[in-house]
Amino acid sequence: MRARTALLSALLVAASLGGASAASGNISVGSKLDAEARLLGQMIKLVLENAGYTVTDRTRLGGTDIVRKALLAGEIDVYPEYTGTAISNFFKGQTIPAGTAAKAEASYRLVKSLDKKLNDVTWLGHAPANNTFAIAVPQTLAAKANLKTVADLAKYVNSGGAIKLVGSQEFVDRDDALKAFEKTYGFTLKPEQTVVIAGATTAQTESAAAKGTDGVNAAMAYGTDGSLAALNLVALLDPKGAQPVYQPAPTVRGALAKAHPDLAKLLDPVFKTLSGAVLQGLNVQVDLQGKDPAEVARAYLASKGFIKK
Amino acid sequence: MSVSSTWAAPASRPAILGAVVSALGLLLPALNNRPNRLLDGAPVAFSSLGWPAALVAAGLLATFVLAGGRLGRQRLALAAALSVMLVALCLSAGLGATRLLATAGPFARVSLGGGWWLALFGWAGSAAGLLSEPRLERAARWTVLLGPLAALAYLLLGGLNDLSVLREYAVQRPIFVTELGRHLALAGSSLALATLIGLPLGWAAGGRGGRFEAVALSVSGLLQTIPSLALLGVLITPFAALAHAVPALAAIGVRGIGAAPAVTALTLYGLLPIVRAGVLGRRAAPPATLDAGRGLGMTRRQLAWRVEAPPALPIIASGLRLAAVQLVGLAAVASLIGAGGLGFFIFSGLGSAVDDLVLLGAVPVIVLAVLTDTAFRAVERVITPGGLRA
Repeated sequence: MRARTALLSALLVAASLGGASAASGNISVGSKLDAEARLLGQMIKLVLENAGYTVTDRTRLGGTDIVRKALLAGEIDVYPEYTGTAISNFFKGQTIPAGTAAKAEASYRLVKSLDKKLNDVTWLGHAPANNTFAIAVPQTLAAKANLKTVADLAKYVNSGGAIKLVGSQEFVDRDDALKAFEKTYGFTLKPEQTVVIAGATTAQTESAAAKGTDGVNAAMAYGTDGSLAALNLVALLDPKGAQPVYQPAPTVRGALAKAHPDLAKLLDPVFKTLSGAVLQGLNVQVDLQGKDPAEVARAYLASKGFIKK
Repeated sequence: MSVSSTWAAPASRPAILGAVVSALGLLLPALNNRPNRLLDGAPVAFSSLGWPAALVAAGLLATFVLAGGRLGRQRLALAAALSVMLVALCLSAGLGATRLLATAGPFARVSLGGGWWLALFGWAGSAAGLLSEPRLERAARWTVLLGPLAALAYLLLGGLNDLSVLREYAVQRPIFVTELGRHLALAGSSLALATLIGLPLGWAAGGRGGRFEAVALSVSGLLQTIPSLALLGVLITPFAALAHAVPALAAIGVRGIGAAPAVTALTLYGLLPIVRAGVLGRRAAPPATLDAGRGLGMTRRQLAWRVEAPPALPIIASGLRLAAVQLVGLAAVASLIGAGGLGFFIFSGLGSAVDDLVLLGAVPVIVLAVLTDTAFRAVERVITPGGLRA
């Protein structure tokens, strides 16, 4: 029933905008390569299709660089992006007010207005999930050294506890990732206590920590990673909020957003349901169980009544 | 008899060496019994896999015994032993995986272990060794090929479906065919472009005193030294600018990301072997023969087709073969700039730390490369003039 109304309203919108918009009723949806990005990309695609749009599937297009370039060049019309990623990558030369990145609403508002003004990119409503950086350690180490938060880790490191952390170049070098943890909680990892892998994903670093590769016992991780429990790892809590907030939202080419004001009405309710726990549950199905992101997205949307079964 | 024995002695060595490698493989884990697709699990030895593993060992033993044999029926028996060994290897993996999964959790996975791959590698060495023996009887040649055919049939009938890599395939099936098609299109179109550009270039370069030749070869050689990732990255910007300036180009798919920059990069990499083949092909006909042709009063066209072309064609074909095999492998990096191809599975497997997904991309690339090589070699054999055949 809901689907039919959505379809009708889409048709009405299309009709009201006339012939030109009927031709641009074709929307190209992109995404990055990882499980969560593909899940979110598929959700956008399925919801738009359900509303009567013709959608070109260009999900799993490439890394942040490629997908963002594709959006700005008009090759894709929409893809899911994170507020934290935008703040640290997209606005070079702009002054970001101190402390903004760690506050969810403030960073979303800043990103939304800057991206609109500078690049004519529209940010639709964001999910409540926060896919921020975390430090994960094996459950055995957490139990032995009584580690629950990054503050516990700082105490452990400062008293000479054995630690070897694996992370991407970005995670280790950037001021708002590992260094923010170190500054906020008062510890410093020596160069020999870190293993840096250029371009590493959290799946790779978590796998290394789970297997203890090269003596690694701590890993760069994401807050919504689904596989931590299965890998016998725990993410340490960040009670002081040292990390930027990474909330996902659909980013849309300005021209398309203007031509189709119903996009927000279609996608905002979907993203609103994506809490950290929900996304984690969906990520598990892709990462750990090896299911197809398109199928996982379809099942979720159908179970919530966003699309017809 | 004495001639054939001096030939056969060194040729049997690869067969024995392969068997030694396979024997080492049998001592290592055949399978990996894992709780899920991310975690390592318990190694499973060949010795616990029952009769199929025993059959592998029997085939291997027969290979050792028969590898030195020079008589026709010994080589036929060796071929049969190798085929049995390959089929038994597949059976031990397929049946072993099914048995292990029967008692495991819902997300459990069974992957092929290092020992299994080593045994397969050794088998390939033995089989290649036997096939390269001179004057190998036709019956033995076909018997060696029976093994791969039977293994392929077992795979297609679903015998290996419980292996983790085929579980990955089952999930990716809708996009696997798409990506395979894109891979072939990328490699094929860049080979065609490289041939259209490189062959006339090489042919022209081969004809003149040598100065132009040095330029053509060093430029196409220099292109090969650029790391593929760097070249792909560099090409994004000009193509995006081009697409922006000429919307008609953008409309037909010439854009900063996707197939256009990927095909361009691959074409540049394909140039060297083809330019070189053009140069060598031009020089294949000895000057004296050309002189003789002229002396006979041949026209330029007759000289080109009857004197220059016959010895040049096999050389050019072998250059194309080199380029084709290289491009089939290189096309895997195209997925990094949104052009798709089998590289998608390789890179998404690396990114998600799932080895079996990497295999799903890598194994087909290897198979494609071998098939391409075989097909081009067959063409080379056909177009080589009788007098030039080895």
